[in-house]
Amino acid sequence: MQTGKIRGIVLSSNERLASIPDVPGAKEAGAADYQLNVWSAVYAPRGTPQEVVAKLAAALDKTLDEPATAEKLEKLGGTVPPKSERGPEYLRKTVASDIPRWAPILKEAAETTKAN
Amino acid sequence: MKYWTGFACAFAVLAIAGTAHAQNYPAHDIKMIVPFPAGGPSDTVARIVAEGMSRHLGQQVVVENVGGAGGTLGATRASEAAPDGYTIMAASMGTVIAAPSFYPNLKYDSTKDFEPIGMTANAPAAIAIKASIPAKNVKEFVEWAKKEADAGRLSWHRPGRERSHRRTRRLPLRADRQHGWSHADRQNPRYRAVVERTPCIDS
Repeated sequence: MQTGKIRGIVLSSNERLASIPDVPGAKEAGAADYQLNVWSAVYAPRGTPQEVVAKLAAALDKTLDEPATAEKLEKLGGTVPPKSERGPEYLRKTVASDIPRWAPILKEAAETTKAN
Repeated sequence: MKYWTGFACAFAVLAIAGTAHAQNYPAHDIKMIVPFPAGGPSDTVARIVAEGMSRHLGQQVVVENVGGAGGTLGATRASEAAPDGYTIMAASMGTVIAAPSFYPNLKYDSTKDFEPIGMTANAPAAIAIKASIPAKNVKEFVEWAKKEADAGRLSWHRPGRERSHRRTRRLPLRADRQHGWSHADRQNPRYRAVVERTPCIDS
């Protein structure tokens, strides 16, 4: 996008992004409910001791607190999750609620593609 | 009685061993499985996080790219790794949230087979078009695409079908049904990752 070879016409988030300020958010493009953030996360295999999980989560949290991390993620068009939306419990809840939330949409998209 | 005492002792020893393990953790390098090839968005975010975690843990967090099957190969391997903290996984929501919808025989259960560590990054998706296309917004783009498709001049590409990127196609897909450019599917190579797809935008 920065080289000018391609042009962003809309984001899946409501608001514009600081790193690509020219691309409109979904809200101003007329799709108010089209809030769709792609998120990434870190996991360990089931059964990993809770003390180990806590150490990994703390190291990740400290990493996300660093301004350099925010800067690097912003350059990629991403953002650091807010402090209250980071740790193991938040991720557990998000995984549990996002699977049923997306399943019908994904299945519909799969059917549409097959029909093509 | 003796049997139970012995059993209790063995259990106590195991519990102490477990605590000692956690106290000394991490004693050596940690492998971070990224279920996509190097250079893609999952990999780039993982490497930023791995570098910071290495500093805070005092041991190297080494990224290992295990791509294939839309991220499910690497995730399966991570779910089957020894649960000792020396194998972890960094993945986007496609692997964890979308894969269960596309793979009925998935070998892992996203809600049960992982211990969540934490979120690393949020990113909105964008619809981007070739700069030479004469459209300033989605409406104009759909109108243009309809015209091109009717003239048989439009083709489209997609990454692996289970990637979360695919969901963003829902917006143009809806347009498909309204405006009928969905037949423009003559060449549709399935690329292993967005990193391999990117040049196609410009082609």
